[in-house]
Amino acid sequence: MHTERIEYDDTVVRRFIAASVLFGLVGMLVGVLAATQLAWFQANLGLPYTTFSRIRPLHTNAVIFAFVGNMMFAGIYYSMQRLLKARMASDLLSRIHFWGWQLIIVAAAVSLPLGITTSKEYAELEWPIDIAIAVIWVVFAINFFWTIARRNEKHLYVAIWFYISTVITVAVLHIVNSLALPLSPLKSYSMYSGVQDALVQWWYGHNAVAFFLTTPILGIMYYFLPKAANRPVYSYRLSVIHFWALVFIYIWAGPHHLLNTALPEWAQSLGMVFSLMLWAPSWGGMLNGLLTLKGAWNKVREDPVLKFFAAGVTFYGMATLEGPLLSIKSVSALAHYTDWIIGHVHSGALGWNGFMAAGMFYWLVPRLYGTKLHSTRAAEIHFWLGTIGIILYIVAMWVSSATQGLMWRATNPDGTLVYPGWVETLVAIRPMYMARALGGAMYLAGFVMMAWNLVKTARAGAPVTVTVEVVVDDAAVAAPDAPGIGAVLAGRPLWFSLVGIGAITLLGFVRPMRAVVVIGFVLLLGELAWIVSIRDKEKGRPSWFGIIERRPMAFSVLTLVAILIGGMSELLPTLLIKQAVPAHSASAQQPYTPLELQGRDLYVREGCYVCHSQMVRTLAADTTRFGDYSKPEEFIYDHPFQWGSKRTGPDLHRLGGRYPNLWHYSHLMDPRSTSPGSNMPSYAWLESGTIDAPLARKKLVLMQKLGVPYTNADVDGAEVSQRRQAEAVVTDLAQQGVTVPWNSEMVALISYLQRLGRDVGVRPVPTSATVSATSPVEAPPAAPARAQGGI
Amino acid sequence: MYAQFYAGSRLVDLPLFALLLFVATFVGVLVRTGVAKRRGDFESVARLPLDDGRPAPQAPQHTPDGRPVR
Repeated sequence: MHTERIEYDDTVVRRFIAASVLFGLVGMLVGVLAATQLAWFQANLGLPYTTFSRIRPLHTNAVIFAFVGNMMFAGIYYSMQRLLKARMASDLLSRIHFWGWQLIIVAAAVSLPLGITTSKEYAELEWPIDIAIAVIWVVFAINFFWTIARRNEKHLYVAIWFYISTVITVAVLHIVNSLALPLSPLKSYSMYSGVQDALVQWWYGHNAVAFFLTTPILGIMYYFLPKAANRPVYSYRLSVIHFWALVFIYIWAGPHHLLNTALPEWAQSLGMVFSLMLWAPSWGGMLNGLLTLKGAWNKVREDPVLKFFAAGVTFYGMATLEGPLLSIKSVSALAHYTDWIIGHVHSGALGWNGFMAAGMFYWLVPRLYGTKLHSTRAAEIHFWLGTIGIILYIVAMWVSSATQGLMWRATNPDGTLVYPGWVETLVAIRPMYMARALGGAMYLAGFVMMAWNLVKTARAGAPVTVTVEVVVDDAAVAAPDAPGIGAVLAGRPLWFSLVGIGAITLLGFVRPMRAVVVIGFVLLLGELAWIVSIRDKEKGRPSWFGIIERRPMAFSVLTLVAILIGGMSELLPTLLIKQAVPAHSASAQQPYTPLELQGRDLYVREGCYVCHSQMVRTLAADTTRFGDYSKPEEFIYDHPFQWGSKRTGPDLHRLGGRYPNLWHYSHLMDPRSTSPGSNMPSYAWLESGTIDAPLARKKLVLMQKLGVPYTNADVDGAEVSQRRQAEAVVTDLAQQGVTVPWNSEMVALISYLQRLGRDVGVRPVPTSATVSATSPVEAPPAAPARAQGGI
Repeated sequence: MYAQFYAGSRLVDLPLFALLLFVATFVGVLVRTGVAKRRGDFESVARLPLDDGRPAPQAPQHTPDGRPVR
């Protein structure tokens, strides 16, 4: 037993807070601009760099990785030093982590508006930045685990567990989802294609929410909420269950983003069921947070910190109730691709992340600068501005979603669509888009007040270096005779659980009578485990939990195993399965032509997937409006997939051959010339932009490496074929009085759009010879038997 | 017999059964958490965030450049 003197490194905490506030302001400002653009298309400003489809990824990346990321690092660095009673192991690594992360953010802020993107949502950054993220994350992880190894506290508090799960899982998610082959320093193609790519992406996307926006913030909740309320967490036992249940279940839930799509049915069912299960641990955690305030509710009235925490945890509960609800297939059929998802995400991001950040900053900054909060009144106003802003935002999105969902599926008695024109829905929800922009602006106004308040607070004080003396129990920390890794692996609870899980899995394969026996066995096993644990306790043996919570490495390995079970069970079947479609038969899906491939890259660059899906779901409302439902084999050459996640505009998967080339030209130059009332921005710069023609050959070579069956003759003739196809489009447009060069980006994109979904029920492209299009607006629908979703 | 059993059940039945099993387990755990006597095993760990150690006596709180805190 000795006394240790520790000087905490809070400089890095102050830096991360400053960065979080700064980038929060930028990210939310861009968000308000994007919301304004949806209500008033003129706010796109006619520039590529400020167009909605390019700045929306900028907004999401800024808010997730810059605002919440920096906030999370601030919370982790502050709390882990105190919980482990140790200074961060390396100040140098802390500095590299901080500056490296900010450089990555700047790289994202520059590259995304330039259209340098992979198009994989929340993972849009191109491969050099992806590598930088991996390197900086490893730097953080080394510092993190090194600090744990040097700790002066034998116990690992539950907040540290949540941080461990974040450090491990984010690394796994990022690396697996970012695997790609580079074409150039600024362009790469996903290793996966079509259904595989979609599944990997949403396994990542959903778990980015789980392990970047949720678990670290839960760790922060378990540290800062008791701290601010000056009372321990309501039930530590519940926090333990919360942790393991969340970590094990969350990783399975990704497929709920792909319900009713071409994803295999089994994966959809797994995603739905595990999402429903998530409700339980999430609410367990929420209740644990709120009940920590039991007996302190009088403080909540007066203390803005507790007010933000209480509201933040409540929003967590609301978002985690709404999430499982949206994951039910029939609810998803109505809500997916609509604004409900946007509202849901924002109740989590603004309510949970934003309010937890505000509570933490209001608590931390006065302490980090040795002073009091500059204005409690301003913090109160921030709270109410933020709360009303969020409610306005999410209610607007609910109303908008119900309108969209019902109008899209409304049919007449004869089976035709009541609202065949897409723009009809768009016009109906425009007031909601205005309300959403107002709600977002109110939230931003509150955030600006917080930034001002924190700056004034910091300037009223000075950076404090905290030095404390702690009593260290040498025997407990060093613990040479402590049970080792062997005791962890031989732990009875581990084996009881594994045998139990194995037996329950068997239920799916055994005959009904044997199933009853298996259920009986599981119950007996549970009973036996119960008795053994009581006997061990009576004999004074350390519990298995007591062993692992002091062994960070064993703990980390078990966490890794917990997430890998779910991840691998879902991903491996689709990754290992042989392509179901013969690649060279006449009926097979044909690879894109060189020009279509160039056009596809432009589709990705401009972020068309932000507003348009390429997935006709297996729902009558979808097939009536868009055409035959999408089949898995149609996407086998899609590196990356372009299914999208939102339909501000209609689905495009059966677009090919529906309209003449001139219609597409007019629509891209001025969307309102073909679709009056549309809020789509103009993409007029495509007409003057030119493709890099020689790159076609290189792209085909790279696609060959990814398994796309181009022959060497295809590669050799890429440039000739590209020009021939382009000139056919140019000739057609010229007959309508439009002159564009063959290598115009416009021609390449039109060629890609005309190809979409045409391998099933091939339609010829209507040309000037087959259509007497006197005006682009009067372009005829291609399938008269169906009502069309006009763009 | 088992083939008939599965042929007659919908694809969603098994996941639903698993879901019910899970919810029942979780409710059981919640109830136990609520009614179980507060044992001391986690008390000291739960109080960790509240234990900040004591400020070092010979080390006045100062700024990184050595100025005393205002």
